[in-house]
Amino acid sequence: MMTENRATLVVEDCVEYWRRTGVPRSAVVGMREELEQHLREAIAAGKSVESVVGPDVLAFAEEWAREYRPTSPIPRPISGVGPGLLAVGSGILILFSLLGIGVYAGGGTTIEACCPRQVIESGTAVITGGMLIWLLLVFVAGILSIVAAVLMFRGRLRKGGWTALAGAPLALLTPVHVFAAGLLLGSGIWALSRASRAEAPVQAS
Amino acid sequence: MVQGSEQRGSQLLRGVLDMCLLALIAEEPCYGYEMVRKLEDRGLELVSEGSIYPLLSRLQRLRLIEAFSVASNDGPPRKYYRVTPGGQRALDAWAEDWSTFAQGVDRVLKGGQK
Repeated sequence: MMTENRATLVVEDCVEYWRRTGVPRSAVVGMREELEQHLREAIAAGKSVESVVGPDVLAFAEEWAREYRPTSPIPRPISGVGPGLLAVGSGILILFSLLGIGVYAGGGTTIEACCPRQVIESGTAVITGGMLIWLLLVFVAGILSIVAAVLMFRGRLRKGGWTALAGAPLALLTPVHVFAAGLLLGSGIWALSRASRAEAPVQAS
Repeated sequence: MVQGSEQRGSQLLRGVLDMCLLALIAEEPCYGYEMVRKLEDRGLELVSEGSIYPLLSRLQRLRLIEAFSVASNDGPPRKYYRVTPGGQRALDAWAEDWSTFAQGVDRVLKGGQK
């Protein structure tokens, strides 16, 4: 009876592990049935649960799970123009938005309050409450750009690509919309196409 | 320290277990526990019987074997495996490789027994 209880626990542990680690649900059902049946017959033949799954249940579960999970190569750090430009662009976006937000929060009404005319020619632009929302959107676009650039640098090209593409519509709201949206769109497409190339199956020899 | 013969046998079996499973399935369709029993009958004992399942999944993924369900008297239907034409070809090739390898090892071992 104790062995049967142990078998039930082992099966539950394996099933939980498989579900948690991304084994397709349909496969888990079949794996569970197969393991349950094997344990039942082994126990009836006087064998221990360990003789079936070994001393480490999770190692056994992982070995089996590996055959069902889609293969994903280990992300490698990426260097290149795409994430580099994106990182620079995100810095510009964030700087621009923080400048505006800072002026508004500081009670200033014009960008001239903190920037010399030589830097910003339209130095008399008024930062109103309505513009604050607009500036916050720019800030979010900048943050998305930074996140995308970091993801790309770390080799998470697909996630980085989609993050960059998500930031592109927000970037259109900025005064440098062509530059910002183009940068996000371009780097997003670059990252996704590079990810697709990396994931393409290798032709068997 | 000299490794125990049981441990050495287990290591050797691990390296050729997929080939042995494919050969058993090629003899006649069978299910997991049945394969373990057949291996035991031929003097091959696994340290962890469940280690056959990742290999069966891999053979299935490589389309060397295929699974099908057979109704069982004690519980849900059993998952049986049968060999595919590609699996039979792979088995023939593996058996030939094994034969060459085993002969080579044999010659080395016999050469050492003077």
